[in-house]
Amino acid sequence: MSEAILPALTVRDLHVQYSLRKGLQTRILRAVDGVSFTLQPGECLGLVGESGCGKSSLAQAIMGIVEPASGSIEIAGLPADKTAIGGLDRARAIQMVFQDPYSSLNPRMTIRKTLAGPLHLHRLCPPSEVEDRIRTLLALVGLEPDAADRYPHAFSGGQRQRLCIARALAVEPRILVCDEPVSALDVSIRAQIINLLLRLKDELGLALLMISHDLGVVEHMSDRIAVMYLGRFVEEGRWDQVLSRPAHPYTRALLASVPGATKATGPGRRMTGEAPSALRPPPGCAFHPRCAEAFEPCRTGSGPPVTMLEEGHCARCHLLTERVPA
Amino acid sequence: MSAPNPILAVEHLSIAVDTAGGLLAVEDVSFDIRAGEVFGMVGESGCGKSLCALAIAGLLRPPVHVTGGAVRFDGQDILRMPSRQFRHLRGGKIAMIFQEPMTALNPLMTIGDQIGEMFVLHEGLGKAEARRKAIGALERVQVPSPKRRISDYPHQLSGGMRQRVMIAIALACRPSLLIADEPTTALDVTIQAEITELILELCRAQGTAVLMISHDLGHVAEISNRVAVMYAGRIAEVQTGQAVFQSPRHPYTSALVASMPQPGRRLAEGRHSLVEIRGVVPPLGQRREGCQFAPRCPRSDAACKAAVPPFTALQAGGKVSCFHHV
Repeated sequence: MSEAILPALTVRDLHVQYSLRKGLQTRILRAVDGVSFTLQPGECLGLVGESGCGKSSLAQAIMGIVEPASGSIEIAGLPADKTAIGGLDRARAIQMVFQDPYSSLNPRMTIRKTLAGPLHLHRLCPPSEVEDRIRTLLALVGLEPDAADRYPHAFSGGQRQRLCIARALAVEPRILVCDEPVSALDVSIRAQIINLLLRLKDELGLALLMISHDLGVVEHMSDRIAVMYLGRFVEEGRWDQVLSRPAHPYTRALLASVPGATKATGPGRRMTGEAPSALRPPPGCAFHPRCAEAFEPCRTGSGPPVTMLEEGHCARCHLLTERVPA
Repeated sequence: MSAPNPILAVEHLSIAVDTAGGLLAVEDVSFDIRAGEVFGMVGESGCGKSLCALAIAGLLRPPVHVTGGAVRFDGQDILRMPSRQFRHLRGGKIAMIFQEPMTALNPLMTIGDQIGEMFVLHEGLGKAEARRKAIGALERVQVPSPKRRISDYPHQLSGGMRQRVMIAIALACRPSLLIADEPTTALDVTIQAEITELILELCRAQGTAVLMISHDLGHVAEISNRVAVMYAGRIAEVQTGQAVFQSPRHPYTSALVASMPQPGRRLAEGRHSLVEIRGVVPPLGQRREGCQFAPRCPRSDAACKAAVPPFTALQAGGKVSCFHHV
């Protein structure tokens, strides 16, 4: 057996639920409904899915912003809770870059103060070295040292996103969660941020969880890709497996909906209709009302099991279990 | 070339924002759209594409106003038309779809009344007849059970359905020109393809020309007969949809194409590093003499900084504004 490297992040059977009160009724919204995956150091997992599928809830649960209903999260083999990696330790291990760099920097703080904050809080370096560390961080994301004296309003969108990345990297995290990091930026500067994130991943061995609806960005950046639909991973695998041999009808429909993508992935059927609400998920496979290939077993039960297709490539679809003899 | 008379001819259009100095947001924009043609207009935020659309629809409001040029619709100069006469044209022969269907629809009116209003105002129909035609219009945009849906309010519909209602309103009176300003940007990826197809299909069927405005070059290139690429208030180049993406002639367009992670490209060619475009789009107040792209352009020289490059007609059709075009 090959020597196993400890994964940066292990998520097991994670559930995130919100209870919504309407009058006397309380309804449960299952935002994340049993998600498991591992993320290796230096690996980028691209997470795709429509809005409302639970991508952001999953990210928030991993960050510790929302409390999962059940399941476990381990960071470098240690449980992410109060017994092992809680509070500040967790914040040191995982950092996040948000979609909108305009609203995620404090407009009343100079960049120096913004970057020094995490250094002081986590007692990462003696006060005499803070200035050096800030300079290093700015250089890491390709900004000049004099940026430290300025306020966020003095920077363009791309530069602000660089600053957000620098702030996240100040605590030397193992894992960086990026929620649509380039979609709010101008098209002509997206490449700068994409190249920067990929360089940091390779240089620092960062594990990236990259949430995006832009399949071009996901294809370019990911080592692995997970496709999420109504709280579940319906397909997961190496980027080339998922993109060149998509196994789930939803993945195929997603790829077919991108202009230009059909040339590479072959004909896929576009789907009709919109994603159902997670408050009233359909019985059986949640995708069956929109699926052109749905048949009887898809409409009942608790949904299809996970089928292993190749090393590292799996999907949840009855069509696959039918083909593989039990 | 004996092209049919254009339905819309924009001639040397300039638009200014009244501030202390008076800033030119759009300068010398000329293009025409033939009957039944799909004409794409792409550019980053702030390039002036939406202002052009608003000017054509006569919707510019102070402090923004047209300072020069003409917009001819079916031969008539609509910028100098009495507003009462223009009001009849707008909504009837010139229709518009906006990005955000929630803010474009009236929340206090049923969708049936909002669609029916078009027939009452532009065709002088009675209420009952207008309602009957509204049901037909809803059916054409593939809203399920239109008879029931007709009494719904906008908040009861999903984003995709709302945009379908917007399309029904816009196309109700069989316009000759539809201005679609980022009609799918606010929607999910999977719905985007469906809505775009619906717009194009309906317009094709009734011979409506489309001005499709978007920031997504790949998307617009795929669906348009011709595309105008805008940069900082001016047209950089106009080419056929296929050519603008496959053989861009302006350095800005070619840099943009090289900087975009395109779906299917890594699968086909392996990971290449994305070409970064240095610098940022000049903000409105900081535009300069000469070609606006010159400071970011690898081909620029002294001539580019001295004067705005005139348009060169391309052999294969189209035009490009660059001294050193590809």
